[in-house]
Amino acid sequence: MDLASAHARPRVASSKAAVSSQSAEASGSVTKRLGSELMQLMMSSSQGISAFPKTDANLFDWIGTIEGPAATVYAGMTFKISISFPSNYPYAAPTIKFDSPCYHPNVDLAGNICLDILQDKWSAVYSVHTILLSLQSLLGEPNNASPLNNEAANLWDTPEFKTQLMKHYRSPDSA
Amino acid sequence: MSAGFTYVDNVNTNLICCICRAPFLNPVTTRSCAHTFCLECIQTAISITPQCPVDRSTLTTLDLRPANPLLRNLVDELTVECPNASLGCTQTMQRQLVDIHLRDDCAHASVPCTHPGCERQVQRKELGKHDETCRRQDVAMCPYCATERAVEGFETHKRICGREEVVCPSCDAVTIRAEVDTHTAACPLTVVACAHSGNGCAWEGARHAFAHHIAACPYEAIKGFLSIHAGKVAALESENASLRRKVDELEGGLRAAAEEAQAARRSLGPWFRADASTSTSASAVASPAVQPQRPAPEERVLRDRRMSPLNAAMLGVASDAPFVPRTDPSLDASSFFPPFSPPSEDASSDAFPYGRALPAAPSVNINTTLEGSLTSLRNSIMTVSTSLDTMSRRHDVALMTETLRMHEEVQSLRAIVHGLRMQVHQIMMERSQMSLSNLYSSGQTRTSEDGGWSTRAEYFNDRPSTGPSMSVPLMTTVRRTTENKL
Repeated sequence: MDLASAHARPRVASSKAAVSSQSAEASGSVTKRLGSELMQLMMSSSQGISAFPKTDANLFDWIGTIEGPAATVYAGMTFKISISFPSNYPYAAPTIKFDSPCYHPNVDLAGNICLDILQDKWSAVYSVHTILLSLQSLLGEPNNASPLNNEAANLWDTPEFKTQLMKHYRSPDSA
Repeated sequence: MSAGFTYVDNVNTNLICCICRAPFLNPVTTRSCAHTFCLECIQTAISITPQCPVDRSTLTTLDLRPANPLLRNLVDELTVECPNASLGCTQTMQRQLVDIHLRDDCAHASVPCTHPGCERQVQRKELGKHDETCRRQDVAMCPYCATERAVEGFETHKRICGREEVVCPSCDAVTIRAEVDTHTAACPLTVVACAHSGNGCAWEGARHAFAHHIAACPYEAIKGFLSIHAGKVAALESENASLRRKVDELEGGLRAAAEEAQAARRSLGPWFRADASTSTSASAVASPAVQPQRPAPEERVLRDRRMSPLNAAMLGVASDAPFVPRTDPSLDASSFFPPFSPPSEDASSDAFPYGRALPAAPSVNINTTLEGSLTSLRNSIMTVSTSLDTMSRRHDVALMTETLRMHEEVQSLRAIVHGLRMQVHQIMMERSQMSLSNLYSSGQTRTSEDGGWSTRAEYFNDRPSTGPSMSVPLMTTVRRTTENKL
């Protein structure tokens, strides 16, 4: 009896492992790539950008921070963004939203971002690092031709913009 | 599939695919913009957006060509860990050798169980352990009939498997073994013998030529006659066989009967008498007790009569024998000694019948059974013993009377002798007195005479062998003997 159960138990365990490894096979390359991107982000010396997975268990949901570039109205500000990767990443773009309120011509009040590389101009060669850099530069150089926030677009290049920005801005640290 | 490898060393960034962020795997370069990607990565990217992921120039799979061999070698020779490192394999090797390692060496690689029908994949190092417990280890798959067979006897099955393809030796057609007989029965090239080969036709040839031959076969013309003939022969043969069987049975019966007769003869022993009337052939196997020269029945009867009368009387075969039956009350002692030469027609043949009758088989009336003969014999023995007894008793009586008579006679003789002795004694006494008186009355002359007398007197006294002194021992002896007899 002991012998039979001893034989049966490892078989069950191995078959379970096989099932999980099969599902992991599809996302294996994605996690591998996300792991390498995370490593790249931590190693890079880029100023003012960072990103980490929300939990250690799930590599597909990240939280990032962007500091406002110096010599812009956003200088000294820090914005939190959430990044959610699709299962066919990097062939499809990740979904990115501002978690902290950001008064910006290309960002609506809900945090949605209008950026071509996150839509139709997405390329598989882009990474979290490049996205964060793009967003950082977007802060200082908005695309007023296709605004999501018309008010902000109209107020761009006016002193009123700074006032509105400060009214909307909440530091993530204070929250 | 770049996810499959773990690279041991840091890899030059120029060898990293910008899509999968891993060293190139099967790298291809775009013809138009000279960007390099893994084949799989760029194919997937193009299928979603037909552009170069780097510069967004239009791109199709036709624009891809293998990357520079130099680049291919650089990435193929990168050192990687075995893909089964998580299972415990510690080996590292060039990336291009991973497949060979997994196929031939890696102890942790999953390999299928060698037993057909067993679906298990086991690590190579545990294959031996699995073999011991594999439920399918005693099963093998027949390559011909695609059924599972026990390993034991598998080779035998393979040799006789009905689904194995075999080639007809005559026409080169391929059939399965189970249908070989069917094919051979119909194959036009198989060599067949003439239908009349049994009757002597020596023709042999391919089956398709048989029709041509049968038209010209000389035996075909007399087919009817041959069949009738064959029928007759068969009937005769069966009859012959039945006759042979019957003969065998009869022979067996005969042998059994002969054995039975032999056994009976043995048990009969000297009683056996072959009856002339029953068989003449029996004389050939008759017992040696029978006279070699078979006499005529009448003569044999005479011979029977010639047998010892005593024997005949004892056997109770009184018939006409000149002998008085033992039961006769007037039996006398003298009647036990019959004449040894009985009246016979052939007296010259035998002076002493016992001489012939004793060594020869006791002859009895063959009309009586052995049982009857034995009974009568037994009776005869009884009567003989009783008469013997009677005779001895008679004899004793006669002897006693005789002895008494003799005793009386001896007594009278003794009395007579005693009287004579007394007389002699008296005479002697008278003589001695006379001589004594003569001696005293006469002189010298009488002396010489006296000496003569004395010598005579000594003779009488010292030697009593004659006269009374002799008779005394004689009489006592006689008396003793008579007393013993009484």
